[in-house]
Amino acid sequence: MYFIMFGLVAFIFLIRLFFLQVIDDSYKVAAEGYTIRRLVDHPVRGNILDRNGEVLATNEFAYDLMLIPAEAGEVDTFLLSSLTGVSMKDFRKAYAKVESNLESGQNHSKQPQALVRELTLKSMAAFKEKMYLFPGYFLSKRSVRRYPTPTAAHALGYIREADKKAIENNPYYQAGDYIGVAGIEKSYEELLRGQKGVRKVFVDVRNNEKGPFMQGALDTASVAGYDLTTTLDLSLQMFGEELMQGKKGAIVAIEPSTGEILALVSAPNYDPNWMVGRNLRVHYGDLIKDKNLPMLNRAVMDGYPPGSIFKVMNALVGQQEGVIHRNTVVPCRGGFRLSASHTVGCHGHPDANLHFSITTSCNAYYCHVFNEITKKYPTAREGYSVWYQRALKFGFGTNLDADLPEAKGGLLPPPEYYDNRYGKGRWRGLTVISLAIGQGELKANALQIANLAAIVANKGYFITPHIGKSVKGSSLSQQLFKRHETGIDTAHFSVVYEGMYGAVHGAGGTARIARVDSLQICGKTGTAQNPHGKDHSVFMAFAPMQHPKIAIGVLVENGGFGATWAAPIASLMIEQYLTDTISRPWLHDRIRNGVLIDTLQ
Amino acid sequence: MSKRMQRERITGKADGLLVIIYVVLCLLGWLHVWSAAESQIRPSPFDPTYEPGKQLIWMGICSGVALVLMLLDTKVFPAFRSFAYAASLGLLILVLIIGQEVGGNKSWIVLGSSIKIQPSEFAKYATALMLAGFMSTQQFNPRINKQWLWVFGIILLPAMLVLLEKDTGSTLVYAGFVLALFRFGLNRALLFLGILVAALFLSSLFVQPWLLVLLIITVAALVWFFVFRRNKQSLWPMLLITAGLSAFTLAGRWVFDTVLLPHQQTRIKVLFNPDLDPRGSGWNVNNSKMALGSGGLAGKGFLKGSLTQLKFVPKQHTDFIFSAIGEQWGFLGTSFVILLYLGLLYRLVWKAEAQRSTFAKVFGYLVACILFFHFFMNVGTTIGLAPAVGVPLPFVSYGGSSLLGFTLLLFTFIKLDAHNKEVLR
Ligand SMILES: [Zn+2]
Repeated sequence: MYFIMFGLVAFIFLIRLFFLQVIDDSYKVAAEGYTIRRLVDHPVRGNILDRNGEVLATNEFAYDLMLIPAEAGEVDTFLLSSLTGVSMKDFRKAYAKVESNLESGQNHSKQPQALVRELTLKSMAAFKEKMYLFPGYFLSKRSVRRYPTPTAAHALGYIREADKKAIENNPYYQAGDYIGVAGIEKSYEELLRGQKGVRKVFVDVRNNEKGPFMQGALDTASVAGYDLTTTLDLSLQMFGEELMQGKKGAIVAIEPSTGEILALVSAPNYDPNWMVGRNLRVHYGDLIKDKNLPMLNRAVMDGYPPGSIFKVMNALVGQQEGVIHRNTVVPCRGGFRLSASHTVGCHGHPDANLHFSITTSCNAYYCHVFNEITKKYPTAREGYSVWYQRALKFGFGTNLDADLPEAKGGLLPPPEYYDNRYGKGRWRGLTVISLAIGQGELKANALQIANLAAIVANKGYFITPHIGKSVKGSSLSQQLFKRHETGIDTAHFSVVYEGMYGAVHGAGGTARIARVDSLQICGKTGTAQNPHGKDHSVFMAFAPMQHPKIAIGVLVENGGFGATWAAPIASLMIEQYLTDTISRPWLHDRIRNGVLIDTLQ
Repeated sequence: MSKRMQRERITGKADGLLVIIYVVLCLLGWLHVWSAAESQIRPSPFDPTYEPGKQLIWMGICSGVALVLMLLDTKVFPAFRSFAYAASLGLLILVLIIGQEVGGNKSWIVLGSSIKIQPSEFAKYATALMLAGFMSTQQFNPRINKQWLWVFGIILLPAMLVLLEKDTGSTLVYAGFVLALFRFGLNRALLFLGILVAALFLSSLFVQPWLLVLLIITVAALVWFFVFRRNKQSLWPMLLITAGLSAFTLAGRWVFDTVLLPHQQTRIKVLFNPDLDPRGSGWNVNNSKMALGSGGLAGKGFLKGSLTQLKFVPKQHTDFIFSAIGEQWGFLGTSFVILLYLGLLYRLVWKAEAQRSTFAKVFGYLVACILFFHFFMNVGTTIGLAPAVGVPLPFVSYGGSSLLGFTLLLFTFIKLDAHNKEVLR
C-alpha cells in the first residue's frame, strides 16, 4: 500500500513537471518578458509658511508621462500625441532630450525618464486607458510646487530638475528629481525635500505591473519633507512689493532683537509660479532677457556705495576710537579741504556737533572723524586697518552668514586693496577719505543696511539676519541665531539715537518726509552716487525709538536723494508693520504709482 | 574479533543507501540555497554570515549529531521517549509565551542575535519516539478502540499546540503520523473517509452544497442498492454516514468562512484559481511555476537561473527551493530529485518492514510517512498541486531546525536498523 501510494504521488508529480517544464512553453515565454521596474516614490515637499502660518509655498499633484528607453518598443507617436495633447514637435524635443541623456551617460536605458511633465487629468485618463499599447511607458504621480500668493519670489527661490552637476555632487539625486536651486528652497533643501522612497515591481510583457519584487522587502516608503516656518510677514512683504512696483531696488526689514527678516523685497519681481513646470517654458525666456534683471535678488546683491547712512557707523567708530565725543564740534564752512584744489563739498554747518552732524548729514564732520582715526596710529595704514576691522564687525564686506544663498558681501576694501592700487606706504587717510561718507569703492546691499539699523537699534550687537524661523519636527542650526558684538560701547549709541530721531522728526532733518507723529522713527538718509545715471536713493531706519520692533533698509535705484523715495517707503513700511494702518493715503498713492523704470520695452 | 567487527558491534552496520541519499540531498540543498542568493552580491558559499554558509555549519552540526546517534545504545531511544515528548511539549508551550513571529508564524524561539530555533521541528521527532514506544509495548492491541484514542491523543497534543502558533504547514504534517498507523491496524475505511471528507470540503467551496448533498445521497443509494442490498444490518450505518456527510457538506462552507483565517482561505482558493490573487498567495505559486516552466527540459545551468537571481520567487531558499532546482536543471533535475526521494522512501519502508522489533518498525514507518508528507506538501505546493502552507523540503530547504529534526529522525532509524540482527525474536 505504501509503495503504491508513494509511487503514485511521485508519478503524478513527474507527469505534472513534464507538462510544466517540457510540453507547456507559455511559462517560458511569460518568464522572458518579466522585468523589474524601479519606481521612485517622490516625497511631498514641505510647505513654506510665513511667521503667522500663512502658506507661501505648497504642492499640487500632477502626473508625468515616463519612459524607460530599454523597454520602449515602436509606438504610435501620433496616437500618443493625440492622447496626451502634447504636440508632435514637443514630443520630438522630449525624445531628443531622452536620447541625449542616454548618450551623455546621465541616465542608463533602464532608468525611467520623464517624457512629458504635468499631464492634464483628462489626458492622463486617456493615456491610462491605452497604456497597454505603449510598452515602456507609464505614469508617475508627483507633487508640483505652487505658491498660492504670488509673492516673495526672490526669498523663496525655486526648484529645478536636478542637473548633471547636482547629480554628480550628491548621490541622493537622480535624473528627474527636483532640487532647490535658489532662495529658501535651496538653503533648506534637505529639510524640505523629504526622503524619496523606492518601489520595485515586476512588469510583464504587456506592460502590466505584476506585483512587488521580493514581496516589497526592498521597498521603502517616501517621507514627506518638513514644513518650514519663515520669519517673513506675508502682509508686510506684499505691502513692500506693492510699494516697489515700477521701480528697481530692494527693501529689507528685520526685527532687531531676533535678527528675523520680516520682509525681503527685490524689485522688479516675478510670480514664483513662473518657475514651475509648464509655466517655466512660457516665462523663463522673457525673464532672463529682461534688461531690468527681475531674477536678480537686489536685496542681497553686491550693491552700491551706501552713501550717508555710513556716517552712522563712522560716528560710532569715531567715539569708540576716542577721536570725537558727543560734544565735539567740527566747523563746516561748506566742505572738507583735502588740498588746495580738492574739497569734499557740504552745505555749511559752522557749529555742527555730533548730534547735529547726523541730523544734517554733514560731510565735513565725517571726513574729519575718518582722518583723525587714520592719524591716531603711527601709520595711516595701521589706522585704516583698525577702522577696517571695526567696519567688518558691522557686517560690511561679509554676507552676514544669512540663510539666503544669494547673499553677497558687497565690498569693504581691506588695506591690501589700497596697497595694490597705490603701492605700499603710498596712500594716506585723505586718499581714501570718501569712505567716511559711504562713497568710493564701498558696496553694500539693503540687507547690510537694514542690519546696520538693527545694530543701532540694539545698541551694539546684531543677531544673524535669517529667514528660517522654525521647523516642526526638526531644528535649525543654532548658527542662525548667533549674537554678533560690534565692540562699540552702549553709551556711544545715545547720541546716534538722538541724531537719527532728529533726522526724521527734528527741524532741518533730512528725512522729515518719513515722520509719523505717533511713531518715534529714527532714520538716516543716503544717496548712492551712480556714475551711470541718476543717483540711488537710500534710507535706513528703526522704530519705535523705545524698544525698537523693526529695522529697515531701503534702496531705490535712480531714486535720487534718500528722502525722495527710500525714506517714504521705509516710513510706510514701518507704519504698516507697527500699526497695521496707512495714515497717509496720499503718500501711499504717490509711492505706489511712482514709476522709475521703463516697463514698456 | 577484527577491528571492523568491533566497530560494528558499537555502531552497527549503517545502511549505505540511506546515508548516500541523505548526503546527496543535503549537498543539493546547500548548493541551491547558495544559487538562490542575489547574483550581484553572491557571497562565498562558506561565508557564515550568509544563508549558504549558515546551512553548511548546520550540516556540520547534523553530521556530529548523526555520529553521536550511531554511538548510542539502541535502548536509549525507547527509554528516552517520555522525557523527549514532555520536553518538546514544554518547548511548544514556551514558544507560545516567548516566541517571536517570523513570516506570520509565532513558532520561533530567538536565542541571541542570530540563532532562531523552531521547536515544532523537534516535536515531530519526540512524537515519533513516543508513538513508536507506546505502540511497541505489550499492552498495545490494535483491536481495542480505546488504545487508538491514546495514539491519537499523542499525535493531537503537539499538533494542537503547533496550530496555536498559526503554523498550518507543521500542523498538517502530523497527518503523516496517521498515515503510518494504517500499517499497524488502523481501519483503512478511515483513510477512505478522510479523503472523502477532504474532497467534499474542497468541493463545497466551489459547488452549491445542496447539489453535493444530492450527489452524496444518489451515490449512497446506488452503493446500497448494488452492494449491500441483501445485508439488512448495513442500512443503518449507511444512512448514518450519508446523513453525516451531507451535514458536513452543508457545514463545510460555514467552517471555511468562520474557522479558517483569511490568509488560509486564500491559500486554498488560489490552489484552484491562481489568478484570484495574483499578487498575494497566488503570486508565490505562479512565480514558482514560472521559474520551473522556464527551466525547460535541461534547465538554464547552475547559477544561471535568471528568475532565481531576480528573487522572483519569494522564500525560494526555504519553501520554494524546488523551483530553484527546476529553473537551473530543468525537468532532468526535478525528476532526479523526485526519484531520489522515491528511492529514500522506498528504502525506508523496505527497511522498516524488515525490522524485528516493533519499536523500530513503527518508528521506520513514521519516518517514511513524515518525510513523504513533507515531500508531498512541499513539491505539491511548488508545482501548484497543493495549497501553499509552507513546509520545508526535508534536507534540501534552508533552515537549521528542520535539517536537525529530519537528521534525528533518519539517523535514529538508521541506528535502529543497524542493530536489527541483534534483536531476538
Ligand atoms: Zn557740513
